[in-house]
Amino acid sequence: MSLSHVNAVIVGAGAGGGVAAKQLAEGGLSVVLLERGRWTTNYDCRKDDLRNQRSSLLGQPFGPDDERNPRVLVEADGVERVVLPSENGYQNNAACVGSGTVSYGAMGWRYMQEDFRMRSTYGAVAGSTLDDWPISYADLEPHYEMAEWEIGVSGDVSNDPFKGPRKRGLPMPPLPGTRECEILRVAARRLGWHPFDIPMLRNSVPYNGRQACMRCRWCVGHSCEVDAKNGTQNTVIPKALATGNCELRTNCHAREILTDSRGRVTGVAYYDERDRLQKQSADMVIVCGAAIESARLLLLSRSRMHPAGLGNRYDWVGRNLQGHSYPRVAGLFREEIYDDLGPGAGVALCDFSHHNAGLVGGAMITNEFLRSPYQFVEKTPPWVPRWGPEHKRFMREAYRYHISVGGPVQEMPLWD
Amino acid sequence: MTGIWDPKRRRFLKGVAAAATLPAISCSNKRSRWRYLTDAEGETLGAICECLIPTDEYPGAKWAGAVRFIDLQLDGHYRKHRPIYREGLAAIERLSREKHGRGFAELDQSAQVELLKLIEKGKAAGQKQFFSLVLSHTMQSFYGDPRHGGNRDQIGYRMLGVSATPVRGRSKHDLEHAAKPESSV
Repeated sequence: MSLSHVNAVIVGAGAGGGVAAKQLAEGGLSVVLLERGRWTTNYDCRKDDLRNQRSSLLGQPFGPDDERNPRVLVEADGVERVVLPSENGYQNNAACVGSGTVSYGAMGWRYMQEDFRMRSTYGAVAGSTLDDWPISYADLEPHYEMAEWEIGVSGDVSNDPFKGPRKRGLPMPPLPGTRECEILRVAARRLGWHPFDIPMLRNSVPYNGRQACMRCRWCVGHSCEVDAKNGTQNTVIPKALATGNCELRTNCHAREILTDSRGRVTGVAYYDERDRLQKQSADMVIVCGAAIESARLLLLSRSRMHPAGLGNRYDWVGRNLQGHSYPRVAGLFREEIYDDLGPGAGVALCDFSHHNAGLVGGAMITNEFLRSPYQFVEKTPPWVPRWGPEHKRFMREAYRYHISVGGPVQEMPLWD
Repeated sequence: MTGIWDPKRRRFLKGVAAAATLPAISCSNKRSRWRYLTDAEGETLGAICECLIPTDEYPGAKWAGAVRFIDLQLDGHYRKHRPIYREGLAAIERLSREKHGRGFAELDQSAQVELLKLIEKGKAAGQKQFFSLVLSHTMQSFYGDPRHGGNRDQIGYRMLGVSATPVRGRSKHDLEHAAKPESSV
């Protein structure tokens, strides 16, 4: 492993890091791409209802590993406890080459124009740091298009009147609808809403040299057995590596970003796969560790010129973290719905994403990815006992007769 | 598990404590059909699981392998739950003998269900956590992937009419359900 100087070190081979690696490597720069996880292969795709990114009861096949990745959780009352990735409260993102893009449900949304201008649209929100982005939808539009065509997005957003303007459609048509999608689509139109096919980073036809989705019931939380789900691990990262300008180092944990006496970045210190401390010198460092780990790395990168961490002169690093509450509702039908056709999610509404009276923001609504039988165990309505003969009968009688919809609610950022 | 290997004498030194990482409880696994549980614990647990998911037109949790699942995981990923299981199973046995003069597995199911309801509500000696674990583990065993010891003959999947976990070679895949290509946009 050569540790001579390179133009760029990228920390994190996930959604952002993979794209950055390809752009820089194709541009002729020398790149080291650090990833704390490992490569996964199709053989790692086990379709295991108890061991996947959504139900990680018996392990996290896409990382991170318990041994090298504890976190300290600070409860509301100030008590600290150490949590492992396998435990509740960890807020687990995947850690592998491609990271979450290996196992995600792969919805490929563009933000709406209002999302970039929340404060201008709604005004200041008391107690929140809500503000406009420094760039607009128009600035990003050509890059959205490039990502959609290069990485591969299927769907049909032409019926969404709320979307931002776009020059080009999507490169692939939507997957053929399921019974659930068609029922919801008809009902939504009858209510005067505007259902459309969710844009998905998933091949609906052969694309990029890989086949179309096999429609199995194990999508969100699992890697794709036939590699039809598009992530950075099967698109931009191989392209970056193919240039010969990019070196991917797996099982490497970044420890801090190094700076010189003038406070300029000089490289990254990291622990390699044998926990030996290494240093990679570089002209620039691109931090792509997602919200929590990127902030942590910056905060750990203290020096005389950056006493509170890199980029943290005003104590904003690690603040304003936004999650989203994700309300879901299930309905029971008299007719059989389930057709065992994955991925499940397929139809969406943005009628309630913005401009709801009395609300700042809102939420889009989609039907859900297929629920595994174990995930359905706790979806029983209040009148059904949690165990015993009635619960078993409910599982048997309701599973194929239910539809579940929901969506992530836009949350207001808090400085604390 | 019987002691430290003495290379000079080429035998295990008897009476020496086993490695500190193992729980200091007699495993007596040579006499039990299970890896961690004793036969008696397996009987009690099987009866509990059978109350949680009983036999109706379809087999219940006991036939489907709930004890096998739980025992396998107690020997693996759920190792940290061992004390709760050991104590919880002992406590439910004590409760059964107190109230009915017999072991839990010997009661009829309606009496077993009543005892479980007491435990579920926390009305018996801090057992709520044990009940909560056994409930979720039993559900996992019945409705989860059969490779973990339960869902025998894919019974949970067959009951719901969902596709079984495919068993494949390393690189084969099933093209049966692949979407037909449509005309390009």
